Amino acid sequence: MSLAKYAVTRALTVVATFIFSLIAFFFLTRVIPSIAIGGNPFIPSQSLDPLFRAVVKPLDDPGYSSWVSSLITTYGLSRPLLPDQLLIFLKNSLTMDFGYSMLSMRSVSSEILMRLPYTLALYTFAVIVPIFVGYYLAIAASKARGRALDLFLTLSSLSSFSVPIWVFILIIYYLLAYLPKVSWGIQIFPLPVRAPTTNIEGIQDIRYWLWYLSPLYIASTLSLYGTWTYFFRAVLASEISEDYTITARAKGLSEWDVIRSEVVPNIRPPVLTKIAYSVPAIFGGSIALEIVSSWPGIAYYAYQAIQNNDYPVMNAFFVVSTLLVAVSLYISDIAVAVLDPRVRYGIARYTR
Amino acid sequence: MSHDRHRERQGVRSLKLYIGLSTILFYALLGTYSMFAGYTGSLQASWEADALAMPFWTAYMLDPLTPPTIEKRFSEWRVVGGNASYSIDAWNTSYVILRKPGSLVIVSDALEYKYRPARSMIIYYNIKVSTKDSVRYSITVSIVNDDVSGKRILYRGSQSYIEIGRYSILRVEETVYGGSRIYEASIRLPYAYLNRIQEEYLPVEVNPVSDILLSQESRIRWNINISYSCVSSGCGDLEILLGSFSIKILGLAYGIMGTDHRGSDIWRQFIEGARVANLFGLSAAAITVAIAISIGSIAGFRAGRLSDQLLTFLTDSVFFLPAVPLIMISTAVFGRSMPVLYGIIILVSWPGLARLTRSWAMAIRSEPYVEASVALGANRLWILRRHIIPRLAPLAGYGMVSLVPGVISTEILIQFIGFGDPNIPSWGRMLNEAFNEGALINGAWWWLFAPIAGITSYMAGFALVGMYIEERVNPRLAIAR
Repeated sequence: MSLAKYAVTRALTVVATFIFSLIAFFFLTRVIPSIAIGGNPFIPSQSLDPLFRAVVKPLDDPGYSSWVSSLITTYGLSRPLLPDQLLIFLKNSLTMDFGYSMLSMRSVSSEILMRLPYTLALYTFAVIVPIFVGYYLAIAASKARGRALDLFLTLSSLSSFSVPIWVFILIIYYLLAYLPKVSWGIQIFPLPVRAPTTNIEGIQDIRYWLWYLSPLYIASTLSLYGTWTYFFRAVLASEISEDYTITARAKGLSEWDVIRSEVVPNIRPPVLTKIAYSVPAIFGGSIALEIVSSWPGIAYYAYQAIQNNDYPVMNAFFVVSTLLVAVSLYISDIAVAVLDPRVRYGIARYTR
Repeated sequence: MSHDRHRERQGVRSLKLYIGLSTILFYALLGTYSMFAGYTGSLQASWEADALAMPFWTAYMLDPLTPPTIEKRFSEWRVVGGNASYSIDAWNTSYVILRKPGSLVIVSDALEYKYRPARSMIIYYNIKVSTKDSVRYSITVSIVNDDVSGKRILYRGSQSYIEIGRYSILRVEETVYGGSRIYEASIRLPYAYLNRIQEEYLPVEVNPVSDILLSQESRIRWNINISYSCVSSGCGDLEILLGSFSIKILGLAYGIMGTDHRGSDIWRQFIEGARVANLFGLSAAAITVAIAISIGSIAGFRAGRLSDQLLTFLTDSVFFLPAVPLIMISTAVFGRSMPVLYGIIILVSWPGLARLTRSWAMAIRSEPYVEASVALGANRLWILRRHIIPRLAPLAGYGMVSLVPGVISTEILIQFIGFGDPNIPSWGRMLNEAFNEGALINGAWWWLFAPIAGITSYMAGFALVGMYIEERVNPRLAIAR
């Protein structure tokens, strides 16, 4: 199977996964609640539909009525829930058309698009940087097998992965933002009270942006490097005693060269698979980070929307986060296939 | 590898197991204890200490002058002034009779106060006034501190003088035609309504407890000022019964873990959080393991068939369902309740273990004895039950250990960002309150510390046991070699 063909096959699988998630979401948030309060999803019963009940409140106000009617057309609210509204929801999700927010009455997709860079700035960093940190620490630990450094790194990675991201951010806010401010009047990091706005004008805003983001970066790195150190160390430990490393050492390569040029190419595919499978958890953690620090990404936007029962934004939030996770999965799938051609032919399969 | 080193490695490994298991056991016992200790309502004010009271042991170490909770009942009274003729019972000094019209000042015994000023107190008074005739009387009940009486400069934005050492609780002026009246109240100071009454005396808004009454090395007492006059000619006695008077100074040092913004005990919340974590974490993980083992073993046993492909697709799809957004939105639809939260957590957390189970089951399926059973014509379900699932028991144990932290951390995350059950005290809820109700701004580190310590050590316990199991399975991971 060529790489292109494999890519297409995987893309189809990922799209199927995506659609499955959307259907599951629709059932969980629309069909089951409507059945739970005695509705029949196959006949149109607007009074029992939670989305319609959220919409109907502003309908009394004549100023809102045209906007509400456009929302009813977008979501097909006058039709039965199950075949019609589900299909409309799938079509809307795939075309990223979520209608208008109930709160701001602006297009949800444009608001999401405006906030997406903020989420990506946090999320991509939280995924990528801890991997590199963990990688180098694991190599250092493997070179120092059985010595104090190895023990220290193992213990620190243990403490790192037993403390969740959102606990780390609290500790950092306390130790590096609040305490120095109160004790010595030094503001090392900002407390999450004045979050940057979504419009950036000039270098000043970008500097504040980075300053505000740095505790979040530190928290995500501190919390996630442990998993990777432990995992890389495990993979290296099983790989470093293979025969080919002895050959490499016999050829006169240094320990660092053995690891970098002989061992690392072999451990890349399982590592990438592991990355793909840790992505949903990291995404959950970055959601908590956004909410705690009032970082204006999509999760914080959705947080406000959920508190105000803003249905279109909730839908959009779920769809976009599923999409982010699916795209990450797809990228790592293709990367594994590039690195290890056996995967394309179904000979090798990495389960971790 | 020498024998000694081998033993040393075993030692490090078992140390992990012991520490991990004892941590888990500790929290299990703590949770069980909270069930039998009768701790309910840990989310309401305990009235045992002030809001944001620090733990007593840190107060003892850092600042011995931090006030603890002090409670005193006042029963000894003496007359210190006034011009009325009176008689007072020698044995029960709380019974005073005024014989002739005039005024009288009665004070109680003193409460000795040795600490920095506290912020609030709960006071209770009960006076019964009875007479047979028509009289007009006025009573003023106040708390006085003779040691700090006078005027003091107080800075509240602008500097101003306040009169300190006296705070009036009750001022009545009444005309009665026989009979008795009872004046009683239980008031928590500072009290907005009373402060308004005192406005004529207080040029700026002050805290009556810390600004007016309490000072280090001083004594406070009750002061009752009575005066009466006759409405018609020829009136007789006015009997005063000073019932129960008490002052409870709410301390700023309390308990093992201090108090939160409501003044409720953090230790109680902590052990109730341990109970919730244990109860829901273990049960949800057990259900998840059961689901994962059954789906994974069926998929592994039928590997390559249509049923396996469908189950694998289901597993992968559910794995990539973003759990946190799903739970956040579901709370908006179903309401914020624990069963919904756990239902969805179970729904989304089984696929990881199911994938692992599938690969194990595939390996077991190709072993000779299973193939022999297949060749002998055994029922598929029988093979699954007799040959495959018993071999997966260690995996179930490992799954339990690795799933509990995941389940707990998701639950705490949801509680922390404010989508959890509002009626259940969990560590996530404690963190949420600490963060949102100003633990940082007030420097209440103990309030943040308690849930963080709980979460971290609980997770580390499970992580240690998980590491032990992984090193048992793959000995090359062990530290010493």
